[in-house]
Amino acid sequence: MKEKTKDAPATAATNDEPEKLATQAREAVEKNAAELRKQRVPIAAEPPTVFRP
Amino acid sequence: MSAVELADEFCDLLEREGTRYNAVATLTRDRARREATRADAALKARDARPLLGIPYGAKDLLAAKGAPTTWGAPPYRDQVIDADATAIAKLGRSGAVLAAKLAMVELAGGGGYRYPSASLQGPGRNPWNVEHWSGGSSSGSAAAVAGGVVPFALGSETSGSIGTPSAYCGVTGVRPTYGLVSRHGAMALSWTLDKIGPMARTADDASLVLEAIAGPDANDATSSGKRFRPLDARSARSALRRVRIAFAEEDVADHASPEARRALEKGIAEFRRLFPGFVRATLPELPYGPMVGTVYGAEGSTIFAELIEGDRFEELVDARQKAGLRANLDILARDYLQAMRLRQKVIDGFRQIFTQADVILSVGRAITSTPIAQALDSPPTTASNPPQTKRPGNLALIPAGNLAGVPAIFFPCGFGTNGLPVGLQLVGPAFSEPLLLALASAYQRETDHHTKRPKA
Repeated sequence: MKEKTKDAPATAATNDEPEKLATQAREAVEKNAAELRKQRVPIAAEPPTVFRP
Repeated sequence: MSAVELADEFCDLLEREGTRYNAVATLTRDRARREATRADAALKARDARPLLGIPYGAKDLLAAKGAPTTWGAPPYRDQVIDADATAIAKLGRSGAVLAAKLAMVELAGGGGYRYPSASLQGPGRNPWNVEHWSGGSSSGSAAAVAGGVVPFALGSETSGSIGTPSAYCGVTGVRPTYGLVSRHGAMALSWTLDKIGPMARTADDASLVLEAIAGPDANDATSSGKRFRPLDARSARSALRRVRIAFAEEDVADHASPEARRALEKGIAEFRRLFPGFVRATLPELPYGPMVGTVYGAEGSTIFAELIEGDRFEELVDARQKAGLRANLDILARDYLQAMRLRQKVIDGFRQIFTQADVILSVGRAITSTPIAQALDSPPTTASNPPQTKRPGNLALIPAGNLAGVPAIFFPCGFGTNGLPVGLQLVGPAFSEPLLLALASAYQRETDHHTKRPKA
């Protein structure tokens, strides 16, 4: 058995299951999308590019 | 002491002390000796370039001829890019001596990692307390400077990767305006967000490094073509006399952790004594975290699509990072473009503030560095997702500033009750680095936080 070191995350066993993480990651993408879609941009006055540094 | 002796001294330090912090990806001793030998010859000929013969380290996201460039990620552990990144080539022409490639969070954390251990070199350890994190993703750069094993380093920021480790380790870091420093030869995580910048012990040192690495580069189409020149003493005095500082008191009052609060309050008070022209101004309320996450998520997963869909993907260290990279491949074009068009609102928001103020002052991070084993989402500690409260103030300055492409300087202002560093940040309009550096330099002339060193 691999020895547990002090660098090993204490909660890894319970919270790092790949399926759970995959679900959380997909939900984060969806949550971000929902937040972005709430923002209204008036297209009549929109500048002619999406990004200008 | 000759440049060769100095290079040997720092290579020894990197080998002995740098590895204690997991800060070193590759020691470049042979290259350092060659560059130092050339520096000694130049010094003999009375060459007075300020970086001549000075050793430094570069985040392992930057290519350096003859050394592996791992991007902190196991799938790239054997990658050798046989050319210098422009920033490294420019430092070479300034006479600086590359002593090491420095550790970083794998792929600069583009999938959203969960643990400080998300690196080929292991968790970045903080020289102020090795059981705490050095911050990410420029972990080794900050730790090496704070630990005194290099005089300065190069880091990079997509959203918080210079700011967070600078704040956690108590060093001075500059996130330049987008396009001021060439990204040629740097790993791309986000074409529209990535920046390369210096991390040093003082603002004056960072200024010398920025002067060397900034400027046009035909190999980077996003290069602005602008150079950086520090303000001369007279211009600096004049600018600082009348400088107007935007500040939101809730950044400390509502958000500072119990450990960090007193030192942050003291730092703000010191700054205000020197520059009393404070005005209240806050960023517009926008979904900064979702915006920046969607932009670098979509760009990063596209850049690394071949890895994500290939055989070596599972070699990445952090399970959350892998899940995030996979999920980000499915970000819709509609949402990416919505995030991109909203960036104009962020730019407009900064423009509005900069009609009332010359710069924005806030905390570097509202907390001190977290323990090595603590998950970064319990409680959330990433710069891009500050906690939601009734008064957001300017706590989203890191994602907002990166989305707008404006520059920032991070500098130490003391220590939390747990003995770990805390710092402030200043953000200005695009290409206002001369003013930002003059302000931090003036603050450092009147305070001694930046002179403190961790016990060896």
